[in-house]
Amino acid sequence: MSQIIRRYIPIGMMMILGLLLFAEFFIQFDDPWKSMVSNSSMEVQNYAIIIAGFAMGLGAINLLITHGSSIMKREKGQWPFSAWLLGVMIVFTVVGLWLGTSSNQYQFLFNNFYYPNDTTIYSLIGFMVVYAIYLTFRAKTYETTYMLVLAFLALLGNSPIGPALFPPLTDLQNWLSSVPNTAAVRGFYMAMSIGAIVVGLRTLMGRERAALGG
Amino acid sequence: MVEKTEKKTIWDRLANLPEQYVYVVLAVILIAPLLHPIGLPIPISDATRKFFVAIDELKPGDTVFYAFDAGSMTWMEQGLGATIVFKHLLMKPGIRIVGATIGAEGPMFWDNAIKSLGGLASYGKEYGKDVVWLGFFAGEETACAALAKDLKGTSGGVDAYGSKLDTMPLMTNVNKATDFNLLFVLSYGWTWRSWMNQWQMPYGIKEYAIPLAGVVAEMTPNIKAGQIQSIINGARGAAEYELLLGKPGRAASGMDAQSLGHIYVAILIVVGNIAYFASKGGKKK
Repeated sequence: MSQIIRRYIPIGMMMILGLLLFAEFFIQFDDPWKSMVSNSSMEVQNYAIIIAGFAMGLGAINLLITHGSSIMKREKGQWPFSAWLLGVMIVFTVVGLWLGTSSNQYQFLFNNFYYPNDTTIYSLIGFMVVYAIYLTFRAKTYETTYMLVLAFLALLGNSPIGPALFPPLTDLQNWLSSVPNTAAVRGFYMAMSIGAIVVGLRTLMGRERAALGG
Repeated sequence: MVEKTEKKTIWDRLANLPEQYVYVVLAVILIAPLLHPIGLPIPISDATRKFFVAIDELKPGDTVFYAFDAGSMTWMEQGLGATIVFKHLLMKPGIRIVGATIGAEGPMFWDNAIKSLGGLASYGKEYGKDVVWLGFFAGEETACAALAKDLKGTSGGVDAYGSKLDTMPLMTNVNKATDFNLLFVLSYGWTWRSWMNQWQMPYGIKEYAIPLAGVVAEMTPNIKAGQIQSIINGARGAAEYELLLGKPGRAASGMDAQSLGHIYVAILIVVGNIAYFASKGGKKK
């Protein structure tokens, strides 16, 4: 019985809902089928949005459990950070739910605590990338030399000063972007799409069980 | 036993500069031109010009959808483009804007962007009549698909602030993707692809994107295929847009720093390679 509930019913649901969305996207129906398929897929998508919303709540609960446990156990070097994280999370949640996310209080918290922290981290990555470029972009082999030369051209081509000082750089940059880059990205997209089609077909045939825990 | 240490040459030192030196010089190079702008030239790319023309050619009564997928980490870069495009849309008389986001942080930046532009009233726009904000929708691409078919149904018939959409003049004849003339997507990562898959491909809505500069290489096949009409390429694209609009702002003033930063990295690469091959490390190879 548990096998039916835990495995076969979810697989059946995945197949039916997957086929419904597949049909709605790819097949041109006439009425009354058109409105029936369209309305049904709309309902499914709305459920997906609601479930995704709950997933965010689940993430918050998971954070509470993980970091709550760290605080309870007084894990060395960890629990003060866990306490800080949960404290900030609680403050944001209470202010957001009580006064609304458009309130001045919530905007103040967001603009003065959350946003500057996130921006700082992103900006620091830029510094580290510069140092990493300096250390690693060395013409040690043919492959690294190609990469070095292309990166050098892309670097100058993407800055305003490069094409201003040396106008042909714009054409060269456009060619690099349009031909070798596009060829490589198309290959990547095709591989990704074939993979997605295979996973989709496996799901529709009930053979993809990773979502059910393997 | 005393270990014999090899004496380091100037090339050895240049090939392995301590990171703090590299960081300090970079910080000075980035900060100095912000305090004292040099006015280095900013050539305007075809992509930015095409984006600008698309908005400039909108006529009174046209309605656009602005997918405002902003992220706090990337706002410093993408916010420049997002804000100047918003300003241009607000400056155009009679243009109506409906906004929504599939990024959880989008709502905060929508409000901030309008505040930084001086509010809707300063452009003669009115909320509900010219601009409507639907807010955040979870579910990423699924949300895009649902919004394309039924905006009111997906949002529960209310905007982000809880007001009923049916009472808003703008929403009287607007409920699905095909009701919009253009789609603008501010994308903190790869959300431009979700909107493209669910709005451009099934319904043929022309999509204009404001991605991070680091993502542009991945978008090139889609731009060449016409799935994305044009883009604003990071902070540089925003600076070009500000110049086209005749309103040089934060992006244009930051371009000196970006240009000098890029030159600095180019010099580091050259110096690093010369030093590497002149040093013992390079000679051993």
